[in-house]
Amino acid sequence: MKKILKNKAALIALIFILFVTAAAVFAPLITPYDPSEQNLPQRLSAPCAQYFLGTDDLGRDVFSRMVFGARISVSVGVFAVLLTVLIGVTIGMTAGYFGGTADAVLMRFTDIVLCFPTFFLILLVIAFFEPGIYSVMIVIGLTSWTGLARIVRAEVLSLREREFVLASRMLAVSRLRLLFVHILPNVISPIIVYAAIGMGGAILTESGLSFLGLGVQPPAPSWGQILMQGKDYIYSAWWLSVFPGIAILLTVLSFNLTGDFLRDILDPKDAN
Amino acid sequence: MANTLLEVKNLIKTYDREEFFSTKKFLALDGISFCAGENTSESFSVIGSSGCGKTTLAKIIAGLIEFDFGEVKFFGKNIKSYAPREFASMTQMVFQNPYASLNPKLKIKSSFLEAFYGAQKDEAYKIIEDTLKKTGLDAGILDKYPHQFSGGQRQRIAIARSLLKKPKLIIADEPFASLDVYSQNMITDIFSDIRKNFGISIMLITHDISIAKRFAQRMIVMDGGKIVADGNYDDIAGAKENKYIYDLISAMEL
Ligand SMILES: Nc1ncnc2c1ncn2[C@@H]1O[C@H](COP(=O)(O)OP(=O)(O)OP(=O)(O)O)[C@@H](O)[C@H]1O
Ligand SMILES: [Mg+2]
Repeated sequence: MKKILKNKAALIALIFILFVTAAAVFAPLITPYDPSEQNLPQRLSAPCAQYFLGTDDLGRDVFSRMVFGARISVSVGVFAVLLTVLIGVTIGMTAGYFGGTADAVLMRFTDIVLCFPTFFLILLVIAFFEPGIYSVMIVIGLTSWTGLARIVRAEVLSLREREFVLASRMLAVSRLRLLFVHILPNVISPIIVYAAIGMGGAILTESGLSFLGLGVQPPAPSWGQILMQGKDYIYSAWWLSVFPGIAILLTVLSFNLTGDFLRDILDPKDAN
Repeated sequence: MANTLLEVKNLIKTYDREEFFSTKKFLALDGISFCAGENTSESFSVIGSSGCGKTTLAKIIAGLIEFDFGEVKFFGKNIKSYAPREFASMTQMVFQNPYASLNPKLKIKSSFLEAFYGAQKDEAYKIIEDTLKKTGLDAGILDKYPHQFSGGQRQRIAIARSLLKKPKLIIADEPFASLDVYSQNMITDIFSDIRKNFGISIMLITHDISIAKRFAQRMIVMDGGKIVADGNYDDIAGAKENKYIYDLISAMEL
C-alpha cells in the first residue's frame, strides 16, 4: 500500500482504471442521453453545455457513446485476458512440468501461433462467423497467450527442481497438488503482470479492429468505432476523433503502467 | 539383502550438456557402489569437492532423478518397485538451501500435513507435536509462513519435516553450507540427537572433512564421479596417493 502511494504514476493509473471500470459498470446511470438517440438538427455540434463532448454525424451524444464504449472496451479486455491466461497458463504449465515430447510439441505450436497475425485471424473468423464483440474477444484471446505460455513454462521449469517441490515429492504428494499448490501459486505474479499489460493490448487491438470495421459493429458504440466515424470529419469535427483517441491512449497507458508497477512490487527480491 | 538399509550398485549417471549445435553426454557418476547399515542403523558422511557428483548421488538414492545404469536398494528391494508412500517412509532428504526448502506461499502447518495425506487429522497433529518437541521447535511455528524465519530456523523446520514419515535414512545434502557457525552447530546437534533418539541413519554430504570426522566414523570420499576411499579417518588418510585426499588430509593436519 505504501509503495502505491509512493509511485504517483501508478497511483494515477490505478485511479484512472477504476474510473473507466466504474463508468463501464454504471454506464446507464452516468450518461445524460441514450447512446443511440439521434438529434439530427444538432448533428456535429461542437462541445457545448448541452453536449459537453459534442455530437456525431447523426446527432448522438459523444460522451454517452464513449461511456458505453468503455463497457465494450473493458469487457473485451476482461474476457480476452481471461482466455489468454487460461490458454497460456495451461500450455505453459503442461510444457514446463511434463517436459520431453509434450514440451517440444506445445512449444512448436506456440511458435506457430506467435507468427499468426491477429488481423489475419480475425478476417478468417469473420469469413465464417459474424463480426462482433465475441469474435473480437475470442480472436484476441486466441492470439495473445504465446508470451505468457513461454514465461510460465520457464518459471515452471525452474520451480519443479526447487527444493520445496522436491521435498513434497519425497512426501509422495500427488502430481495435481504439486502443480496447483506448489507450482502455480509461485508463478502467479508474472501471470498478473502479463494480464495487466494484456488488458491494455486487448483494448488497443479491439479499437484497431473496430476502426477498420472488423470489430464491434454499429450501432454499438466502441471507442475504435467512434474514432472511425470521426475520421471523415477530422477537420470539421475534431472532437469526434480526439476524445476516443485520448480515452484509448490513457486506458492502455494506465494498464501498462499498472503492469510495470505490479512487476516491481511482486518481484521476489522485494518479497523477502 | 533384506537386512541391509542401503545398497548402491554400479551407479552410472550422465547428464546431457547442450553445446552450440549438439548435445554432449557428461558423466556425473561413474560406477558408484557401496552398502550401508547392515543389520543396524549406520550414519556416514560423503565427502567430495564441488561438482564431484554428491548431490546427483543423493537425488538418485532419494528417487528424485533417473539414472542410466546400476541399482539402488533399500532392505533388498529396488527403489523402483516401492510404492511412493512406502518409499516416503524409507528415506527423506534435507537440502542445502533452507531458503528454498519450504513453499513460501504455505504455512508451515500445510507443508507438514502433506506427510499425512489420507491419515487421521488428530493422529497427524500428535506426530507433528511430538516431532516439534524432539527438534526443539515451538508449536507456534505451525501458523507462520517461511519468510518469518531465519535460515537456521528454516533448516530446523525442514529437518523436522524430514522426520514426520519416520524414515530409515535421512540424506542431508550440505545442510549447513549456507548457515552461520552458530546455526551450523545447532543443526549438527539436532542430527546427533536424531541418530541417538530416533535410531535413524543419516547420510551427511559435506565438503568439510573436519565436520565429517566429528560426525561419524565412516566417510566415503568421492572424486570425479567415483568413490576413491571408504572407511574411517585412518583408512582415508592411507589413500593419499589420490590428489584430492592428499589435499584434504594436508588441510586437516595444518
Ligand atoms: N541437471 C543437470 N544438468 C546437467 N549437468 C548437471 C546437472 N546437475 C548437475 N550437473 C553436473 O554434474 C556434476 C555433478 O553435480 P553435483 O551437483 O552432483 O555435484 P556436487 O558434488 O553436489 O557439487 P557441489 O558441492 O557444488 O554441490 C557437475 O559437474 C554439474 O555441473
Ligand atoms: Mg551439491
